[in-house]
Amino acid sequence: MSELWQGILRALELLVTFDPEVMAVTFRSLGISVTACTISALVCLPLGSLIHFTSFKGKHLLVSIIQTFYSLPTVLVGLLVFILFSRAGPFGDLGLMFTPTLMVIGQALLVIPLMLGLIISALASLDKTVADTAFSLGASRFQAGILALKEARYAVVTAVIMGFGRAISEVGLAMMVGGNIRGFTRILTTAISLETSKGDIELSLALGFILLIISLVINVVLGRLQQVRSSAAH
Amino acid sequence: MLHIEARNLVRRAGQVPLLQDISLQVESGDSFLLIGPTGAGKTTLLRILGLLDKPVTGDLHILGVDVIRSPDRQLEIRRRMAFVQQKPVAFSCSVLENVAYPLRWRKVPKQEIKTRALDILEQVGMQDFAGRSARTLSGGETQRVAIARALVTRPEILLLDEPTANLDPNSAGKIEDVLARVARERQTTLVMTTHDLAQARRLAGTVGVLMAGKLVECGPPEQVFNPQADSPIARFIGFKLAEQDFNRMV
Repeated sequence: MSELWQGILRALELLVTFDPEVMAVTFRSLGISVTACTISALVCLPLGSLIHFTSFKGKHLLVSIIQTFYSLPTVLVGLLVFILFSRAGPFGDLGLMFTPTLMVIGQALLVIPLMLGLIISALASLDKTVADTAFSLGASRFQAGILALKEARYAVVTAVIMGFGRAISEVGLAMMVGGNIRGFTRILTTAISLETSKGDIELSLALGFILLIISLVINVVLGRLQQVRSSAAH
Repeated sequence: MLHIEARNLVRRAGQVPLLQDISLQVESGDSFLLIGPTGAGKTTLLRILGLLDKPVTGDLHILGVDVIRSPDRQLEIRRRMAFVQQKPVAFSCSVLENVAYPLRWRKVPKQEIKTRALDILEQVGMQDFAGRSARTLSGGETQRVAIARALVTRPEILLLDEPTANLDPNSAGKIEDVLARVARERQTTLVMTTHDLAQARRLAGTVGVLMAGKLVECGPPEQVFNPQADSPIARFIGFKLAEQDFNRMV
């Protein structure tokens, strides 16, 4: 118990003194996950609208497949990305293995199905009259899509935040394709994993706290958005 | 000039026929009122004319364009029309922004958008609500915003699905006046469904009677409202008139 208490104190010390190592790992982690999440949003927002507003054969099957990928194991995506980008793989010549760029690609691949599925669900839960009204007032498909995303903004923002949560908390993929190289590809989750195995509980706890703080900030932002939405509706 | 020409329109839900062999013509500037009992297919027909749904078979020319065989011209045609739905939805923004949306979609200059939006809000008696969140409005107020949102585009064809159904008699009268003025001054073609036969008499240039998915009568009001005594139309019209008399008494 005292070890845990000492760990918490040491963790707080590392945080309040802005320990360079801890800060570097934190900002790298945020940078990689925010980039992956932004790329995913740029893919999923138009693609989700397109899938929602287009009628085609096999649409339900496609949505079911996307939803199946919600719980895709991170190590499986890591393995796939590893095979594709390793020296012998089809994209081996790009030399991206064990770089932050590949971690971004991997995280984006992990996040896209979740974000896409949630955006499609968000648009599907929207009153059909919204899209009909937009079309009947002269909106193009693109304009109607933008309007629908705006109308479903709370659920869409939730989808983006859920995607970010999945990206920043995953460890298997980052370890496999990033290699956990100190000062280069080490991020919060891989650092926690490494420091725990080395017995440096204080540092692991400090990094764990930072992850918790990030989660807290995400929840506060989400809660604030919810309040804004409900106050706007009354 | 014909603004709408429909020939043999058929629409089904699975095997259930919703519209059967509907043929009609609406002249430019005409006020075409569709009446009929609930479930007769009035909204279904209006949605097809508004290019929101497709018929299973049949031809449809709007503003001279074969809209079924020219899907690439549908946006152009939709931008020359506007459709007010029976249960209109307000977008999650201010009343003014709601009315401004269709103009923004048409890339109208910003200053003109504001002027036109405020002007049309005044016409429907909603100018004091311009800055208010549209989601906080009552059903009747939302209906008036929806009508303003449609009128602001100065459509050549205006489709209205029971536009005054949610309004009190005073507001309904105001909306009727606006619609009559728009039809008269801009030569806008109106296609409107209603349950209110008195309203149909007041506004209609042509009345169409839809029953069980069939257009059973179509002509000027004096012809349609004087049917043969034993016809199904007479039973419907007689029932509706009696119902309205009863409502007036209570």
